[in-house]
Amino acid sequence: MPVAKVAAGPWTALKHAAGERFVAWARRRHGPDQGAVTINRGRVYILPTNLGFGYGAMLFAMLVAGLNYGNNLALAFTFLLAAGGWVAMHQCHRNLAGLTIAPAGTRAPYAGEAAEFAFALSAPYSREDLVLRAEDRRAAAVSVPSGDAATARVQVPTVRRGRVHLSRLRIESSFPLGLFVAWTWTHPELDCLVYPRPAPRDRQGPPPATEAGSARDGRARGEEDFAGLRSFRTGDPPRRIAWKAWARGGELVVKEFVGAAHTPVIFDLAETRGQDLEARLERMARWVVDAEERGDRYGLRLEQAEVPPGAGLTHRNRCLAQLATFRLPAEAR
Amino acid sequence: MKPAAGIARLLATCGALALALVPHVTHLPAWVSAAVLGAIIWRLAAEQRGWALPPRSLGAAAAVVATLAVFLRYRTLNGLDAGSALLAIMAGLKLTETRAPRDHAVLVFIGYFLCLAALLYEQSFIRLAYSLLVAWLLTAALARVHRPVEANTPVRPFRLAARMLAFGVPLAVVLFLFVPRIEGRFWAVPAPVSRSTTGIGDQMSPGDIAELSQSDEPAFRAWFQGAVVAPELRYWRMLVLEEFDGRRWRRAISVADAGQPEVVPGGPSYTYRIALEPTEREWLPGLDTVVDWPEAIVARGRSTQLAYFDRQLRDRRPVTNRLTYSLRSYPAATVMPSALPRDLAVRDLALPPGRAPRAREFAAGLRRAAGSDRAFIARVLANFREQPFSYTLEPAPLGAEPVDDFLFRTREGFCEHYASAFAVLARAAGIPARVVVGYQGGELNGYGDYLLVRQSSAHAWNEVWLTGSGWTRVDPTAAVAPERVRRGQVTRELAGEDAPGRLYADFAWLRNIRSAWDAARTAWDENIVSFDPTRQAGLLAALGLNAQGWQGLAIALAVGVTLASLVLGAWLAWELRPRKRDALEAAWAKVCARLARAGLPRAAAEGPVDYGRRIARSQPALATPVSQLVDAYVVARYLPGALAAERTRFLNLARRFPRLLRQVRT
Repeated sequence: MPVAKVAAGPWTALKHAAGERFVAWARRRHGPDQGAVTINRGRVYILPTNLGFGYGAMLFAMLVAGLNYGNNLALAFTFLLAAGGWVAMHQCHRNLAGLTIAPAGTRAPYAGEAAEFAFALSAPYSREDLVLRAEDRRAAAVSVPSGDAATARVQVPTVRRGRVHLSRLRIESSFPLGLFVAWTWTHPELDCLVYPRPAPRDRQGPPPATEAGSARDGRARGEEDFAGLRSFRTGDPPRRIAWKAWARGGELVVKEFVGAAHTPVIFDLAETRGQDLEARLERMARWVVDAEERGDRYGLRLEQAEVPPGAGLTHRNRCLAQLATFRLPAEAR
Repeated sequence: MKPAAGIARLLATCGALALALVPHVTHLPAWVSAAVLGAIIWRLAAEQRGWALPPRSLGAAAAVVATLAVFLRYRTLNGLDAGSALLAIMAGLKLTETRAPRDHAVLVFIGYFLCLAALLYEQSFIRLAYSLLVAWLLTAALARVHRPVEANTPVRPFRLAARMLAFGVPLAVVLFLFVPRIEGRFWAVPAPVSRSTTGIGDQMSPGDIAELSQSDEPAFRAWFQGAVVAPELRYWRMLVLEEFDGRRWRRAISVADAGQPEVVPGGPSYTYRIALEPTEREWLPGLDTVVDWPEAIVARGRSTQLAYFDRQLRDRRPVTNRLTYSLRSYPAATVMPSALPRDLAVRDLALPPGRAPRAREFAAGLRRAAGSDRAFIARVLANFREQPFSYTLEPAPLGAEPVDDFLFRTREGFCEHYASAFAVLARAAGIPARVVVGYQGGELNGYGDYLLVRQSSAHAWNEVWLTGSGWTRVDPTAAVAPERVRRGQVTRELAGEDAPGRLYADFAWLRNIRSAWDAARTAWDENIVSFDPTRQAGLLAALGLNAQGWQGLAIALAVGVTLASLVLGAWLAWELRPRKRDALEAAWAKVCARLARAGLPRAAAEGPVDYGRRIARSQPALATPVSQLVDAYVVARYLPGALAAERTRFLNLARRFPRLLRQVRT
């Protein structure tokens, strides 16, 4: 939050600067990470948390009291708590060392939503309370059962369409008591597409559909004729599934309509009005999303680039990806 | 946070905190205990019902008021009593505003401090065990609060905390043995006022020792080098009372000028070590007559000088911790045989003017009839023996002239009555006499080879100065109740149902158990509670470390911590060893490895179903065997209530799979 940064004092600024230098040093030290990374002991950093410092101060006060009273049992009690803290430190470190972390796909968001990077965590023995952080966003803690894998998803906020880049991932854990926090960074250098945010429905005109073929067939949208049933394919919109037929005990079939299937629509950037490219792309994104929801066959034309008509989620994502990367500045592509 | 999790956290923290408070209830003002209990109940109800918590400013104001109240009660905020009361109050106040994990952490830390304070009050084994139990629960509460809610099962925090503390034991032992102890204190703390003082006081009036005699508590223990002193010589002198006001005997104020009496050793000598339980007073017992004593005692955060005058051992400060010191005594020594200084003779002959007229008259008559001091003493003792004097812990109350009343009316009493009456009679007869208080007796503990002296052995007797033999011990109680002196403590025959430990007198096995328990407790006190720099140095020498003092300790600490680290490393490695997979998983892993060798590795985040589909798409020839295998695996592993037959089916398929793969690919 920018407000907080303005209000921060010199101490915070100093801490921040030192943190940045440390991160850069760690980056040079670790080198680039590709694919699955196993965190060796050398790259696990560990420090007491505020709670840990409080615990230390408490132990010191107890030690002074024990020595002052010359009371051996008080000292024994203090030493056991101190030793417990020391064990917690080792457990905390071991909880991270030897963990393998591998990228496990991304989920592209619309601009303004959070991009999701998934990571597969695996280890020869069980791990607990692992937290992934990227750019101040914290993923829910996950635990990895012994000899198994778990998936953690970290979300990164986005502002505009294009690509969001994840250059640094912090994996941390304050297992078991929160007295210490052990962490490391990986540099997965992952990209996630960010689709343009579909324009609001009410502020766009009807999509100026251009037929793939010659002329428009003059029929208004939604007035397609029922043509028959075919078997279900992945990506078919649920609203076109013949639920009644399925309920009677048949297999999953889809109603096909003349018009939808036979007259594919091509959305052309040239058809959008307005000065702002982003707004035009957002409108196109809306058309694509709506067309997919209706179950139309549709394609895309962005100046030279063209996506031939098709349907289904894969097709939709391909179209949205085209919109996401269209005329991006080179460094953002 | 889910409400159930919130309640679980609060219950864990409050429960542990309440248990940490239990040992303090006896000395805390009642309003503090009640307030903390109320705060716990209120906070739990607030969580359950969703009541709003008071604002923090109100809590701060209450904290100021409570601190003031504690200050007014104890007149200080320093020291154990005020400190633990403050801790308890702060816990209660903090509870009313506990919201965040940080607040829970503060409560847990207060709980740890309460455990520590409980150990400062009492150093028994049981107290330590209890404190460790509470520390475990507190740590578990901390774990419950600071872990993600979804990561906690009800028992998980307890296991985490137990493991953490258990793994810490080796290091804790190393630290305990080798962390240097300091001598003296960083700052002075007032002795706890709530701690009742047991043992013999600076003065004696009828009833004081009778009360003590009913206590079964140990007063001190003594280890003898060589022979143990005979029962009839077990007179443990503590202090001398010389000023009498008609009812009460007091220590003479100007004792300092008495100087060192002349002691002529005689008979066998005994060398022994005494471990004195805390008395909160300065006087130390020693076997009559002490000839060698340490000038200074350095022990456990406390160094002190001992003074020895008029055969009394005195510490510079009240004994607040168990104190150990070594002495040498000659029970048959002669003291001050040549002459009694005039000022001492005056003091030890003085009687309050006008008091005890009948006793004076009686003594004067008896002295004239007896003819000599020794004969007079024999007659007085014979009088006690022959007249109907009786020994009881609950004598009839005495009137305005206690000595006359006792001698001629009630004729029943306890050792202090006899000692007091005898001293008055002797002084009236012109024999310098005084009262000595201390302990008489001691039981030998066969398990620990030491003499245990209990408070029930508290005793009062007399010393008279006789020409030629100097200060001579006379025990008038022995004339009335020889049993008391022979047994070394009050027995049932003497005291009826009030005698302490009368149950033990009847059952030998019960007495044995009690001896064993006392021996164990003594071993604990000797080795753990009294562990000090001297023992530390002895330990270093036993380990063959030549370096002395801090250097030796530093080396031992470094080596010990390294060893403890190795132990922990091995322990963690064993605990976190890769677990053996079950047969299903192992077979599946083998299939995956085989496919990976065939150029079809499973992606890290790919489940079996997705993996199978991908292979089927890319290698249609493998579609059937792979999908069969995957289906069998999924059914066997994930279907609730999968049968053995289904497991076997998958295992068979998996075993045949490599051959199948080879066939398909050739």
